[in-house]
Amino acid sequence: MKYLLAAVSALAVAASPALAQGNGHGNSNGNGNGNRGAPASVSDNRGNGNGNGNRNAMRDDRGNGQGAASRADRQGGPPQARGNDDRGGPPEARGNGNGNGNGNRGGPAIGRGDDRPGNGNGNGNANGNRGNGNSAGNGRGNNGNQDRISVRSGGLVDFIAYRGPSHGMADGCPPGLARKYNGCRPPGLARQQDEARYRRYSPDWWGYGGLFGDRRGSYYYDDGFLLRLGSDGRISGYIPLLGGALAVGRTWPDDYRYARMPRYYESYYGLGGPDRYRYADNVVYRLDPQTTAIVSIAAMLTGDEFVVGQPMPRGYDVYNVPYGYRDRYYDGPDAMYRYNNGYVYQVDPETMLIASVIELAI
Amino acid sequence: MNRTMIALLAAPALLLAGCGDSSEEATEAPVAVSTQTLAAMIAGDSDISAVSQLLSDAGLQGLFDGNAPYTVLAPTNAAFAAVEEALPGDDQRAARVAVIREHVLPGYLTTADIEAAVRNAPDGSVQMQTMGGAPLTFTLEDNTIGVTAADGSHALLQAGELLASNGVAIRVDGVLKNLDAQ
Repeated sequence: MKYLLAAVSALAVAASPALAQGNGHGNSNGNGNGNRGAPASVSDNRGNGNGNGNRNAMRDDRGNGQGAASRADRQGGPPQARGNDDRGGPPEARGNGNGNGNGNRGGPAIGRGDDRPGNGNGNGNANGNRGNGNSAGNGRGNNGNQDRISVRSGGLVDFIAYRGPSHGMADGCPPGLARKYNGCRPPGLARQQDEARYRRYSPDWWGYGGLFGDRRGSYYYDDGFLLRLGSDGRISGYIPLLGGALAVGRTWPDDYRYARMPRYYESYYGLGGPDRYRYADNVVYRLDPQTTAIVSIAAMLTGDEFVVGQPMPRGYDVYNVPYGYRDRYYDGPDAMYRYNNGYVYQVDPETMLIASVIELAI
Repeated sequence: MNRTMIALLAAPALLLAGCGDSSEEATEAPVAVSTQTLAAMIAGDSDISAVSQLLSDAGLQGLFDGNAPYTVLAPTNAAFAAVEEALPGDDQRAARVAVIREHVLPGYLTTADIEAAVRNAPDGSVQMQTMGGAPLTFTLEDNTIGVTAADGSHALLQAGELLASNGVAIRVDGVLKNLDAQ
Protein backbone atom coordinates (compact mmCIF):
# COMPACT_ATOMS: atom_id res chain seq x y z
CA MET A 1 0.00 0.00 0.00
CA LYS A 2 2.83 2.31 0.84
CA TYR A 3 4.31 1.99 -2.58
CA LEU A 4 1.01 2.47 -4.22
CA LEU A 5 0.55 5.67 -2.36
CA ALA A 6 3.98 6.82 -3.32
CA ALA A 7 3.17 6.14 -6.92
CA VAL A 8 -0.04 8.05 -6.65
CA SER A 9 1.82 10.89 -5.09
CA ALA A 10 4.26 10.90 -7.92
CA LEU A 11 1.44 11.30 -10.34
CA ALA A 12 0.12 14.06 -8.22
CA VAL A 13 3.30 16.02 -8.40
CA ALA A 14 3.30 15.78 -12.13
CA ALA A 15 0.17 17.79 -12.02
CA SER A 16 1.38 20.28 -9.51
CA PRO A 17 2.66 22.92 -11.93
CA ALA A 18 -0.86 23.44 -13.08
CA LEU A 19 -1.93 23.94 -9.53
CA ALA A 20 0.82 26.41 -9.06
CA GLN A 21 -0.35 28.68 -11.79
CA GLY A 22 -1.60 32.00 -10.79
CA ASN A 23 -5.03 33.13 -11.59
CA GLY A 24 -4.29 35.65 -14.16
CA HIS A 25 -3.40 38.79 -12.40
CA GLY A 26 0.07 38.38 -11.34
CA ASN A 27 3.42 36.90 -11.86
CA SER A 28 4.67 34.67 -9.24
CA ASN A 29 7.76 32.67 -8.88
CA GLY A 30 8.35 30.21 -6.25
CA ASN A 31 10.87 27.78 -5.12
CA GLY A 32 10.53 25.29 -2.46
CA ASN A 33 12.42 22.52 -0.92
CA GLY A 34 11.02 19.83 1.14
CA ASN A 35 12.89 17.64 3.50
CA ARG A 36 11.61 14.76 5.36
CA GLY A 37 12.79 11.64 6.92
CA ALA A 38 10.09 9.40 5.66
CA PRO A 39 10.57 7.29 2.58
CA ALA A 40 11.23 9.39 -0.43
CA SER A 41 8.23 10.62 -2.17
CA VAL A 42 7.77 13.53 -4.44
CA SER A 43 4.78 14.47 -2.44
CA ASP A 44 7.18 15.63 0.21
CA ASN A 45 6.98 18.91 -1.49
CA ARG A 46 3.72 19.43 0.13
CA GLY A 47 5.71 20.14 3.18
CA ASN A 48 5.85 23.31 4.91
CA GLY A 49 7.86 26.29 4.67
CA ASN A 50 8.38 29.90 4.93
CA GLY A 51 7.18 32.26 2.39
CA ASN A 52 7.79 35.84 1.59
CA GLY A 53 6.07 37.51 -1.16
CA ASN A 54 4.75 40.54 -2.80
CA ARG A 55 1.58 40.06 -4.61
CA ASN A 56 -1.22 41.57 -6.45
CA ALA A 57 -3.20 38.58 -7.36
CA MET A 58 -5.53 36.32 -5.59
CA ARG A 59 -3.89 33.02 -5.37
CA ASP A 60 -0.41 33.47 -6.52
CA ASP A 61 0.68 32.81 -3.03
CA ARG A 62 -0.40 29.26 -3.40
CA GLY A 63 1.86 28.80 -6.33
CA ASN A 64 5.02 29.42 -4.50
CA GLY A 65 6.95 26.38 -3.80
CA GLN A 66 5.57 24.73 -0.80
CA GLY A 67 6.12 27.79 1.28
CA ALA A 68 2.91 29.60 0.85
CA ALA A 69 3.37 33.25 1.33
CA SER A 70 0.76 34.90 3.39
CA ARG A 71 -0.28 38.43 3.17
CA ALA A 72 0.54 40.46 6.14
CA ASP A 73 -0.48 43.65 4.52
CA ARG A 74 -2.72 44.20 1.69
CA GLN A 75 -3.98 47.24 0.05
CA GLY A 76 -6.55 46.10 -2.33
CA GLY A 77 -8.16 48.11 -4.99
CA PRO A 78 -11.83 48.54 -5.42
CA PRO A 79 -13.67 45.35 -4.73
CA GLN A 80 -15.98 43.66 -7.11
CA ALA A 81 -18.66 44.08 -4.58
CA ARG A 82 -21.01 46.95 -4.41
CA GLY A 83 -23.36 48.40 -1.93
CA ASN A 84 -22.73 49.61 1.53
CA ASP A 85 -19.23 49.72 2.77
CA ASP A 86 -17.93 47.00 0.62
CA ARG A 87 -14.32 47.73 0.79
CA GLY A 88 -11.30 45.64 1.13
CA GLY A 89 -9.19 43.46 -0.97
CA PRO A 90 -11.26 40.93 -2.78
CA PRO A 91 -9.52 38.40 -4.90
CA GLU A 92 -10.11 40.30 -8.08
CA ALA A 93 -8.74 43.51 -6.74
CA ARG A 94 -5.62 45.01 -8.06
CA GLY A 95 -3.31 46.39 -5.53
CA ASN A 96 -0.05 45.91 -3.92
CA GLY A 97 0.68 43.79 -1.02
CA ASN A 98 3.54 42.50 0.90
CA GLY A 99 3.48 39.49 3.01
CA ASN A 100 5.60 37.25 5.01
CA GLY A 101 4.55 33.97 6.29
CA ASN A 102 5.93 31.08 8.14
CA GLY A 103 4.62 27.63 8.11
CA ASN A 104 5.78 24.82 10.24
CA ARG A 105 3.87 21.72 9.88
CA GLY A 106 3.73 18.67 7.79
CA GLY A 107 1.13 18.35 5.14
CA PRO A 108 -1.99 16.37 5.68
CA ALA A 109 -1.71 12.67 5.78
CA ILE A 110 -2.32 10.95 2.56
CA GLY A 111 -1.56 7.51 3.69
CA ARG A 112 -1.28 5.54 6.82
CA GLY A 113 1.52 4.87 9.13
CA ASP A 114 4.85 5.52 7.53
CA ASP A 115 3.34 7.15 4.55
CA ARG A 116 2.47 10.21 6.46
CA PRO A 117 4.41 13.16 5.27
CA GLY A 118 6.94 14.64 7.54
CA ASN A 119 7.81 18.20 7.95
CA GLY A 120 9.42 20.13 5.20
CA ASN A 121 10.99 23.44 4.78
CA GLY A 122 10.51 25.67 1.90
CA ASN A 123 10.88 29.17 0.74
CA GLY A 124 8.68 30.92 -1.61
CA ASN A 125 8.70 34.28 -3.21
CA ALA A 126 6.03 35.85 -5.22
CA ASN A 127 6.01 39.05 -7.10
CA GLY A 128 2.79 39.98 -8.61
CA ASN A 129 2.46 42.27 -11.52
CA ARG A 130 -0.89 42.99 -12.86
CA GLY A 131 -1.82 41.63 -16.17
CA ASN A 132 0.19 38.51 -16.37
CA GLY A 133 -0.58 35.18 -15.12
CA ASN A 134 2.55 33.19 -15.22
CA SER A 135 3.90 31.41 -12.34
CA ALA A 136 6.50 28.87 -11.79
CA GLY A 137 6.98 26.88 -8.76
CA ASN A 138 8.66 23.89 -7.44
CA GLY A 139 7.10 21.99 -4.75
CA ARG A 140 3.66 21.41 -3.49
CA GLY A 141 2.26 18.27 -4.75
CA ASN A 142 -1.07 17.02 -3.72
CA ASN A 143 -2.55 13.87 -2.40
CA GLY A 144 -3.09 12.27 -5.70
CA ASN A 145 -6.74 13.10 -5.68
CA GLN A 146 -6.36 16.61 -6.90
CA ASP A 147 -7.29 18.15 -3.60
CA ARG A 148 -5.21 21.20 -3.14
CA ILE A 149 -3.36 21.28 0.12
CA SER A 150 -1.69 24.31 1.47
CA VAL A 151 -0.17 25.53 4.63
CA ARG A 152 -0.90 29.16 5.00
CA SER A 153 -0.01 30.96 8.12
CA GLY A 154 -2.41 33.70 7.24
CA GLY A 155 -5.40 31.43 7.12
CA LEU A 156 -8.04 31.87 4.49
CA VAL A 157 -7.01 35.34 3.67
CA ASP A 158 -9.10 35.55 0.57
CA PHE A 159 -12.23 34.72 2.48
CA ILE A 160 -11.41 36.99 5.34
CA ALA A 161 -10.84 39.82 2.96
CA TYR A 162 -14.44 39.51 1.99
CA ARG A 163 -15.91 38.82 5.32
CA GLY A 164 -15.95 42.27 6.72
CA PRO A 165 -17.82 43.95 3.94
CA SER A 166 -20.27 41.13 3.51
CA HIS A 167 -21.80 41.69 6.90
CA GLY A 168 -23.48 44.51 8.59
CA MET A 169 -26.72 46.28 9.09
CA ALA A 170 -27.60 48.77 6.41
CA ASP A 171 -28.26 52.28 7.55
CA GLY A 172 -31.55 53.93 7.02
CA CYS A 173 -34.85 52.48 5.99
CA PRO A 174 -35.63 49.97 3.24
CA PRO A 175 -37.20 51.81 0.31
CA GLY A 176 -40.34 49.72 0.42
CA LEU A 177 -40.91 50.41 4.07
CA ALA A 178 -40.12 54.06 3.63
CA ARG A 179 -43.16 54.23 1.41
CA LYS A 180 -45.21 52.06 3.75
CA TYR A 181 -44.39 54.08 6.84
CA ASN A 182 -44.35 57.77 6.41
CA GLY A 183 -40.94 58.90 7.47
CA CYS A 184 -39.84 55.35 8.27
CA ARG A 185 -41.65 55.51 11.57
CA PRO A 186 -43.63 52.33 12.30
CA PRO A 187 -46.94 52.85 14.05
CA GLY A 188 -46.64 53.21 17.79
CA LEU A 189 -49.00 50.36 18.47
CA ALA A 190 -46.88 47.99 16.47
CA ARG A 191 -43.80 49.11 18.33
CA GLN A 192 -45.50 48.63 21.65
CA GLN A 193 -46.60 45.16 20.71
CA ASP A 194 -43.14 44.36 19.63
CA GLU A 195 -41.54 45.54 22.81
CA ALA A 196 -42.60 42.30 24.44
CA ARG A 197 -41.00 40.32 21.67
CA TYR A 198 -37.60 41.89 21.38
CA ARG A 199 -35.98 38.69 22.36
CA ARG A 200 -37.35 37.10 19.27
CA TYR A 201 -36.55 40.07 17.12
CA SER A 202 -33.06 40.71 18.35
CA PRO A 203 -30.16 39.96 16.02
CA ASP A 204 -29.20 37.12 18.33
CA TRP A 205 -32.47 35.34 17.80
CA TRP A 206 -32.07 35.57 14.07
CA GLY A 207 -28.56 34.20 14.20
CA TYR A 208 -26.96 37.53 13.41
CA GLY A 209 -25.63 38.20 16.85
CA GLY A 210 -22.09 37.44 15.87
CA LEU A 211 -22.25 39.44 12.68
CA PHE A 212 -23.38 42.75 13.99
CA GLY A 213 -21.45 44.54 16.61
CA ASP A 214 -24.22 46.59 18.09
CA ARG A 215 -26.91 44.37 19.51
CA ARG A 216 -28.37 47.10 21.63
CA GLY A 217 -31.45 49.01 20.79
CA SER A 218 -34.90 48.06 19.77
CA TYR A 219 -35.56 45.75 16.93
CA TYR A 220 -38.65 45.17 14.94
CA TYR A 221 -39.65 42.69 12.28
CA ASP A 222 -41.69 43.64 9.28
CA ASP A 223 -42.04 42.57 5.69
CA GLY A 224 -39.06 40.26 5.79
CA PHE A 225 -36.71 42.79 7.32
CA LEU A 226 -35.15 42.98 10.76
CA LEU A 227 -35.38 46.66 11.56
CA ARG A 228 -33.55 48.67 14.15
CA LEU A 229 -35.48 51.47 15.70
CA GLY A 230 -33.71 54.62 16.70
CA SER A 231 -34.45 56.54 19.85
CA ASP A 232 -36.84 58.72 17.88
CA GLY A 233 -38.88 55.72 16.84
CA ARG A 234 -37.70 55.88 13.28
CA ILE A 235 -36.14 52.96 11.46
CA SER A 236 -32.42 53.55 11.62
CA GLY A 237 -31.11 50.34 10.10
CA TYR A 238 -32.17 47.06 8.61
CA ILE A 239 -31.19 43.59 7.59
CA PRO A 240 -33.07 41.80 4.82
CA LEU A 241 -33.71 38.31 6.14
CA LEU A 242 -33.19 34.95 4.54
CA GLY A 243 -36.62 33.63 3.63
CA GLY A 244 -38.10 37.09 4.04
CA ALA A 245 -36.87 40.04 2.03
CA LEU A 246 -34.24 37.67 0.65
CA ALA A 247 -36.60 34.93 -0.41
CA VAL A 248 -36.90 33.22 -3.73
CA GLY A 249 -38.61 35.50 -6.19
CA ARG A 250 -37.68 38.71 -4.38
CA THR A 251 -35.27 41.03 -6.11
CA TRP A 252 -32.08 41.92 -4.34
CA PRO A 253 -32.58 45.14 -2.38
CA ASP A 254 -30.86 47.82 -4.40
CA ASP A 255 -29.14 49.38 -1.46
CA TYR A 256 -28.10 46.28 0.42
CA ARG A 257 -24.44 45.42 0.28
CA TYR A 258 -23.02 42.17 -0.90
CA ALA A 259 -19.64 40.87 -1.81
CA ARG A 260 -18.01 38.71 -4.37
CA MET A 261 -16.60 35.47 -3.11
CA PRO A 262 -13.14 34.14 -3.79
CA ARG A 263 -12.91 32.09 -6.94
CA TYR A 264 -12.51 28.86 -5.06
CA TYR A 265 -15.90 29.38 -3.49
CA GLU A 266 -17.42 30.31 -6.81
CA SER A 267 -16.14 27.06 -8.19
CA TYR A 268 -16.87 24.88 -5.18
CA TYR A 269 -20.43 26.07 -4.80
CA GLY A 270 -21.00 26.21 -8.55
CA LEU A 271 -21.97 29.84 -8.52
CA GLY A 272 -21.09 30.91 -12.03
CA GLY A 273 -20.14 34.48 -12.71
CA PRO A 274 -20.31 37.23 -10.14
CA ASP A 275 -23.51 38.58 -11.64
CA ARG A 276 -25.26 35.35 -10.82
CA TYR A 277 -25.05 35.40 -7.07
CA ARG A 278 -24.94 37.58 -4.02
CA TYR A 279 -23.06 36.82 -0.85
CA ALA A 280 -24.17 38.50 2.33
CA ASP A 281 -24.46 37.57 5.99
CA ASN A 282 -23.00 34.10 5.46
CA VAL A 283 -25.54 33.11 2.85
CA VAL A 284 -25.02 32.84 -0.90
CA TYR A 285 -28.04 33.55 -3.09
CA ARG A 286 -28.35 32.61 -6.73
CA LEU A 287 -29.78 35.37 -8.85
CA ASP A 288 -31.27 35.82 -12.24
CA PRO A 289 -28.64 38.16 -13.65
CA GLN A 290 -31.20 40.01 -15.73
CA THR A 291 -33.71 40.76 -13.02
CA THR A 292 -31.57 40.24 -9.89
CA ALA A 293 -34.39 38.12 -8.57
CA ILE A 294 -33.31 35.42 -6.16
CA VAL A 295 -33.80 31.98 -7.67
CA SER A 296 -32.41 29.76 -4.93
CA ILE A 297 -30.10 29.57 -1.95
CA ALA A 298 -26.72 28.31 -3.07
CA ALA A 299 -24.83 27.99 0.20
CA MET A 300 -24.72 28.75 3.86
CA LEU A 301 -21.43 29.45 5.57
CA THR A 302 -20.67 29.22 9.23
CA GLY A 303 -18.66 32.38 9.51
CA ASP A 304 -16.03 30.57 11.54
CA GLU A 305 -12.45 31.32 10.69
CA PHE A 306 -9.96 28.53 10.45
CA VAL A 307 -6.45 29.90 10.42
CA VAL A 308 -3.39 27.75 10.01
CA GLY A 309 -1.34 27.87 13.14
CA GLN A 310 -4.30 28.97 15.21
CA PRO A 311 -6.55 26.79 17.36
CA MET A 312 -9.49 25.19 15.67
CA PRO A 313 -12.65 27.15 16.40
CA ARG A 314 -14.94 25.69 18.98
CA GLY A 315 -17.87 23.69 17.79
CA TYR A 316 -16.21 21.14 15.58
CA ASP A 317 -15.89 18.22 17.93
CA VAL A 318 -17.47 15.70 15.60
CA TYR A 319 -15.84 14.26 12.51
CA ASN A 320 -17.70 15.77 9.57
CA VAL A 321 -15.62 15.21 6.47
CA PRO A 322 -17.73 14.78 3.31
CA TYR A 323 -18.56 11.23 2.42
CA GLY A 324 -16.45 11.14 -0.71
CA TYR A 325 -13.31 12.15 1.16
CA ARG A 326 -13.51 9.94 4.19
CA ASP A 327 -11.13 7.35 2.86
CA ARG A 328 -8.47 10.03 2.54
CA TYR A 329 -9.05 12.28 5.51
CA TYR A 330 -9.88 10.39 8.65
CA ASP A 331 -9.03 10.94 12.25
CA GLY A 332 -6.04 9.23 13.71
CA PRO A 333 -3.49 9.71 16.46
CA ASP A 334 -1.44 12.11 14.38
CA ALA A 335 -4.05 14.11 12.62
CA MET A 336 -7.71 14.86 12.64
CA TYR A 337 -9.79 16.45 9.95
CA ARG A 338 -12.74 18.75 9.97
CA TYR A 339 -14.81 20.24 7.19
CA ASN A 340 -15.98 23.82 7.07
CA ASN A 341 -17.19 26.02 4.23
CA GLY A 342 -15.76 24.03 1.37
CA TYR A 343 -12.43 23.16 2.93
CA VAL A 344 -11.12 20.27 4.96
CA TYR A 345 -8.70 21.26 7.68
CA GLN A 346 -6.04 19.11 9.18
CA VAL A 347 -5.78 19.61 12.91
CA ASP A 348 -3.12 18.47 15.33
CA PRO A 349 -4.99 16.34 17.89
CA GLU A 350 -2.59 17.29 20.66
CA THR A 351 -2.40 21.01 20.26
CA MET A 352 -5.68 21.42 18.36
CA LEU A 353 -3.87 23.83 16.11
CA ILE A 354 -4.82 23.90 12.46
CA ALA A 355 -2.00 22.44 10.42
CA SER A 356 -3.14 22.82 6.86
CA VAL A 357 -6.00 23.62 4.56
CA ILE A 358 -7.23 21.24 1.90
CA GLU A 359 -9.22 22.43 -1.05
CA LEU A 360 -11.53 19.73 -2.20
CA ALA A 361 -11.58 18.56 -5.74
CA ILE A 362 -14.56 19.73 -7.70
CA MET B 1 -11.17 -0.18 5.09
CA ASN B 2 -10.38 2.52 7.53
CA ARG B 3 -12.06 3.12 10.81
CA THR B 4 -14.20 5.93 9.66
CA MET B 5 -15.56 4.03 6.74
CA ILE B 6 -16.38 1.16 9.00
CA ALA B 7 -18.10 3.47 11.40
CA LEU B 8 -20.04 5.00 8.58
CA LEU B 9 -21.19 1.78 7.09
CA ALA B 10 -21.77 -0.15 10.25
CA ALA B 11 -25.33 0.65 11.16
CA PRO B 12 -25.06 4.25 12.22
CA ALA B 13 -28.11 3.95 14.41
CA LEU B 14 -26.62 1.26 16.55
CA LEU B 15 -27.05 3.24 19.66
CA LEU B 16 -30.45 4.49 18.72
CA ALA B 17 -31.52 0.97 18.00
CA GLY B 18 -30.34 -0.10 21.38
CA CYS B 19 -27.45 -2.24 20.30
CA GLY B 20 -25.01 -0.04 22.10
CA ASP B 21 -21.84 -1.15 20.35
CA SER B 22 -20.40 1.04 17.67
CA SER B 23 -16.86 -0.26 17.67
CA GLU B 24 -15.14 -0.87 14.43
CA GLU B 25 -15.68 -4.57 14.85
CA ALA B 26 -19.40 -4.12 14.65
CA THR B 27 -20.89 -6.47 12.12
CA GLU B 28 -24.43 -5.22 11.81
CA ALA B 29 -25.86 -4.83 8.38
CA PRO B 30 -24.40 -1.80 6.69
CA VAL B 31 -26.51 1.22 6.01
CA ALA B 32 -26.06 2.15 2.43
CA VAL B 33 -25.24 5.66 1.45
CA SER B 34 -27.73 6.69 -1.17
CA THR B 35 -26.81 8.11 -4.50
CA GLN B 36 -29.63 10.60 -4.01
CA THR B 37 -28.99 14.11 -2.86
CA LEU B 38 -29.98 15.28 0.56
CA ALA B 39 -32.72 17.44 -0.92
CA ALA B 40 -34.27 14.44 -2.63
CA MET B 41 -34.07 12.26 0.45
CA ILE B 42 -35.65 14.87 2.68
CA ALA B 43 -38.38 15.42 0.15
CA GLY B 44 -39.08 11.72 0.12
CA ASP B 45 -39.43 11.26 3.87
CA SER B 46 -43.00 11.67 5.04
CA ASP B 47 -41.94 12.00 8.69
CA ILE B 48 -40.25 15.32 7.98
CA SER B 49 -42.52 16.64 5.26
CA ALA B 50 -43.17 19.88 7.17
CA VAL B 51 -39.49 20.70 7.15
CA SER B 52 -39.29 19.67 3.52
CA GLN B 53 -42.12 22.03 2.67
CA LEU B 54 -40.38 24.90 4.39
CA LEU B 55 -37.15 24.18 2.56
CA SER B 56 -39.05 24.18 -0.68
CA ASP B 57 -40.95 27.38 0.08
CA ALA B 58 -37.79 29.18 1.09
CA GLY B 59 -35.72 28.00 -1.85
CA LEU B 60 -33.40 26.08 0.42
CA GLN B 61 -33.68 22.82 -1.45
CA GLY B 62 -30.93 23.92 -3.76
CA LEU B 63 -28.68 24.15 -0.75
CA PHE B 64 -28.99 20.41 -0.30
CA ASP B 65 -28.74 19.57 -3.95
CA GLY B 66 -25.27 20.87 -4.45
CA ASN B 67 -21.69 19.94 -3.95
CA ALA B 68 -21.29 21.11 -0.38
CA PRO B 69 -22.18 18.73 2.43
CA TYR B 70 -24.64 19.62 5.15
CA THR B 71 -26.26 17.71 7.95
CA VAL B 72 -29.83 18.54 8.90
CA LEU B 73 -31.33 17.69 12.25
CA ALA B 74 -34.86 17.60 10.95
CA PRO B 75 -37.69 17.97 13.46
CA THR B 76 -40.40 15.44 12.81
CA ASN B 77 -43.75 16.72 11.69
CA ALA B 78 -45.09 16.41 15.21
CA ALA B 79 -42.24 18.46 16.59
CA PHE B 80 -42.27 21.05 13.85
CA ALA B 81 -45.97 21.73 14.42
CA ALA B 82 -44.90 23.92 17.33
CA VAL B 83 -42.95 26.11 14.93
CA GLU B 84 -45.83 26.44 12.54
CA GLU B 85 -48.13 27.33 15.39
CA ALA B 86 -45.84 29.95 16.87
CA LEU B 87 -44.70 31.42 13.59
CA PRO B 88 -47.52 30.96 11.11
CA GLY B 89 -48.09 32.22 7.63
CA ASP B 90 -46.00 33.75 4.91
CA ASP B 91 -45.28 36.74 7.10
CA GLN B 92 -43.33 34.60 9.51
CA ARG B 93 -41.54 32.44 6.99
CA ALA B 94 -38.27 34.25 7.61
CA ALA B 95 -38.59 33.36 11.29
CA ARG B 96 -39.25 29.72 10.46
CA VAL B 97 -36.18 29.74 8.23
CA ALA B 98 -34.18 31.21 11.10
CA VAL B 99 -35.37 28.31 13.22
CA ILE B 100 -34.42 25.65 10.72
CA ARG B 101 -31.08 27.33 10.09
CA GLU B 102 -30.06 26.35 13.58
CA HIS B 103 -30.70 22.74 12.69
CA VAL B 104 -28.22 22.76 9.81
CA LEU B 105 -24.64 21.72 10.51
CA PRO B 106 -21.60 21.97 8.28
CA GLY B 107 -20.36 18.74 6.80
CA TYR B 108 -21.36 15.13 6.83
CA LEU B 109 -22.18 13.85 10.30
CA THR B 110 -23.61 10.44 10.89
CA THR B 111 -25.10 9.33 14.16
CA ALA B 112 -22.16 6.98 14.48
CA ASP B 113 -19.80 9.94 14.16
CA ILE B 114 -21.68 11.81 16.83
CA GLU B 115 -21.87 8.82 19.12
CA ALA B 116 -18.18 8.09 18.77
CA ALA B 117 -17.28 11.68 19.51
CA VAL B 118 -19.50 11.77 22.58
CA ARG B 119 -18.09 8.53 23.91
CA ASN B 120 -14.56 9.79 23.45
CA ALA B 121 -15.21 13.16 25.01
CA PRO B 122 -13.80 13.50 28.52
CA ASP B 123 -16.95 15.14 29.80
CA GLY B 124 -19.32 13.14 27.65
CA SER B 125 -20.45 16.03 25.54
CA VAL B 126 -19.42 17.48 22.20
CA GLN B 127 -20.36 20.59 20.32
CA MET B 128 -21.06 21.31 16.71
CA GLN B 129 -21.55 24.63 15.06
CA THR B 130 -24.72 25.38 13.15
CA MET B 131 -25.52 27.69 10.28
CA GLY B 132 -27.51 29.76 12.72
CA GLY B 133 -24.45 30.76 14.65
CA ALA B 134 -25.20 28.97 17.91
CA PRO B 135 -23.59 25.61 18.60
CA LEU B 136 -25.43 22.45 19.55
CA THR B 137 -24.30 20.14 22.33
CA PHE B 138 -24.62 16.38 21.99
CA THR B 139 -24.69 13.97 24.91
CA LEU B 140 -25.76 10.43 25.63
CA GLU B 141 -29.02 10.03 27.48
CA ASP B 142 -30.00 6.49 28.35
CA ASN B 143 -28.40 5.11 25.25
CA THR B 144 -29.90 7.74 23.05
CA ILE B 145 -28.16 10.78 21.65
CA GLY B 146 -29.57 13.99 22.97
CA VAL B 147 -28.95 17.42 21.56
CA THR B 148 -29.29 20.74 23.34
CA ALA B 149 -29.23 24.21 21.87
CA ALA B 150 -27.54 27.18 23.46
CA ASP B 151 -30.92 28.49 24.60
CA GLY B 152 -31.70 25.21 26.37
CA SER B 153 -33.98 23.73 23.75
CA HIS B 154 -33.58 20.00 23.65
CA ALA B 155 -34.35 17.03 21.42
CA LEU B 156 -33.46 13.40 20.97
CA LEU B 157 -32.07 11.98 17.78
CA GLN B 158 -34.32 9.42 16.18
CA ALA B 159 -33.35 6.21 14.47
CA GLY B 160 -33.18 5.87 10.74
CA GLU B 161 -30.93 8.63 9.50
CA LEU B 162 -30.93 9.48 5.82
CA LEU B 163 -27.47 9.09 4.36
CA ALA B 164 -27.42 11.03 1.12
CA SER B 165 -24.54 11.47 -1.25
CA ASN B 166 -24.03 15.05 -0.14
CA GLY B 167 -25.28 15.14 3.39
CA VAL B 168 -27.22 13.55 6.19
CA ALA B 169 -30.66 14.11 7.66
CA ILE B 170 -31.29 12.94 11.19
CA ARG B 171 -34.79 13.16 12.57
CA VAL B 172 -35.17 14.81 15.95
CA ASP B 173 -38.20 14.85 18.21
CA GLY B 174 -38.02 18.50 19.18
CA VAL B 175 -37.21 21.97 17.95
CA LEU B 176 -33.79 23.31 18.84
CA LYS B 177 -34.85 26.89 19.18
CA ASN B 178 -36.71 28.75 21.86
CA LEU B 179 -39.98 29.87 20.31
CA ASP B 180 -41.27 31.73 23.32
CA ALA B 181 -42.00 35.35 22.74
CA GLN B 182 -40.42 37.01 25.71
